[in-house]
Amino acid sequence: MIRLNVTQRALLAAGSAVGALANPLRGDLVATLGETTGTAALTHMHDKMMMNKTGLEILKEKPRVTKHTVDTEYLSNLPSNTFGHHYYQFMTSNGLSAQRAQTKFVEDEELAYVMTRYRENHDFLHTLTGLGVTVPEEICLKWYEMVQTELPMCALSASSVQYLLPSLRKGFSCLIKYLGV
Amino acid sequence: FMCSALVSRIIATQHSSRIIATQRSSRIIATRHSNCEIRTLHTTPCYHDNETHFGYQTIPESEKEGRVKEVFERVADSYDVMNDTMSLGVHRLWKDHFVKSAAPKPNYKCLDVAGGTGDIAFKLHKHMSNITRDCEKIVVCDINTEMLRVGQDRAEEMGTGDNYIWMEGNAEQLDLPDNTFDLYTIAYGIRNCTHIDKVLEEAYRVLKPGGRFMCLEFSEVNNPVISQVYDKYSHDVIPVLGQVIAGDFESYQYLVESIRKFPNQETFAEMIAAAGFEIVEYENLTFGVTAIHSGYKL
Repeated sequence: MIRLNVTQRALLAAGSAVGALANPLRGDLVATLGETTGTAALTHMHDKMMMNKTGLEILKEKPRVTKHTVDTEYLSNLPSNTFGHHYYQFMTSNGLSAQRAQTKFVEDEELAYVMTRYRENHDFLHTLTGLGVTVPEEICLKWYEMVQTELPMCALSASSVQYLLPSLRKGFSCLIKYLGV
Repeated sequence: FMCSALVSRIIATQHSSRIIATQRSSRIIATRHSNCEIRTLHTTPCYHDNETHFGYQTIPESEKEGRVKEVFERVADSYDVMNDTMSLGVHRLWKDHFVKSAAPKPNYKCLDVAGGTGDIAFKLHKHMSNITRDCEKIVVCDINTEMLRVGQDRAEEMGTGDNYIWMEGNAEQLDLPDNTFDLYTIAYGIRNCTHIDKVLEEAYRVLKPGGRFMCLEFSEVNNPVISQVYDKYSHDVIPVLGQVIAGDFESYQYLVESIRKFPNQETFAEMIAAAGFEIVEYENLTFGVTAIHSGYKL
């Protein structure tokens, strides 16, 4: 956990925004941007979680979704009408493992956990929405996250229209199907 | 080209006003050391016997070498890009001036310590080979294999790999014989060493009588206006650049802090004299952001 002063925070936010736009493969810069600009959104999310029974439980226990906490063997044996089964299918068919960038620049421990939880939820959202890992689909998922979390970083990703246009229809149709259900 | 010639003239005028160049004053440094207290850049903090500084942190001495190694392993690949970005290319001018001051002759046996990615070694070779093709190989020593690997790759790319001997080693304990080298250089490396006095002793040992020790290192900016700008830039901009370009905020924060913990020009000159060197001089570059220290084994 790194403390930043105002100048550092501002410069880092600007620098990581430019860097992430210039090189979309720099996932760490997107993460950094999220952390340096997300305080208001994280506070808002934290407040909403506090007003909800499940949210309170999560904040108390602080569960993690990492390589060490996900029992892949258990998931692989679940019946096909379970969420766990579909999550396992999604992760293995895309060759993914549950490991997200550590939250470094959020000072408050509680808010840092909310950010970590947001990141670790991402693959659950893939499972629920049926969106895949192609760039247009990821951007559509960012739209969803943008509305849910109000994080400015999601807005930046969501506005990456240059990647969206080619397969616009496929991505959005998935999202619309999910919303329509 | 014109721009760098102009800038090096700026560097050069700094030089003539600040050098402690006369025999007399430098002998004063060499003989007075026993009466002087070693002053440090900040008020000396209270370190327990086996503790030292790692940037602004205090850590057990035994850990420092490992942690410095880690830092440089992480930054090795982006080291040169970051140097250019942080100093806006000026580090090249500092290093050019350093090598010109060293003025190695083609038959000089040169040792470049903490020479990792090869900047100084390449410039030394260029200087010597401008005089004649047939020059001695330069030994490049670094504690970190990643940094050496970057240097070797660069040499291969330039097609000059044969002119260097790349050696993994510790500046405090060189695996090299006594009285071997005509020139010992260490650029931006000594401040990362745990025991500076040991490094200086080893330098003295491996130099021939008549050999020269030269050090290029960040130092103290005395000018109050410039130092404020420099401090703000160091603490606010450099680690951010580290995160954006190299994905590593903490390593660059360490680098900035390690500059502040290193002794200032006078103190370091005294340490060099204490190791036995004579005609100890220093020259400030760019208001003292960087300084060249030099001493002879007589």
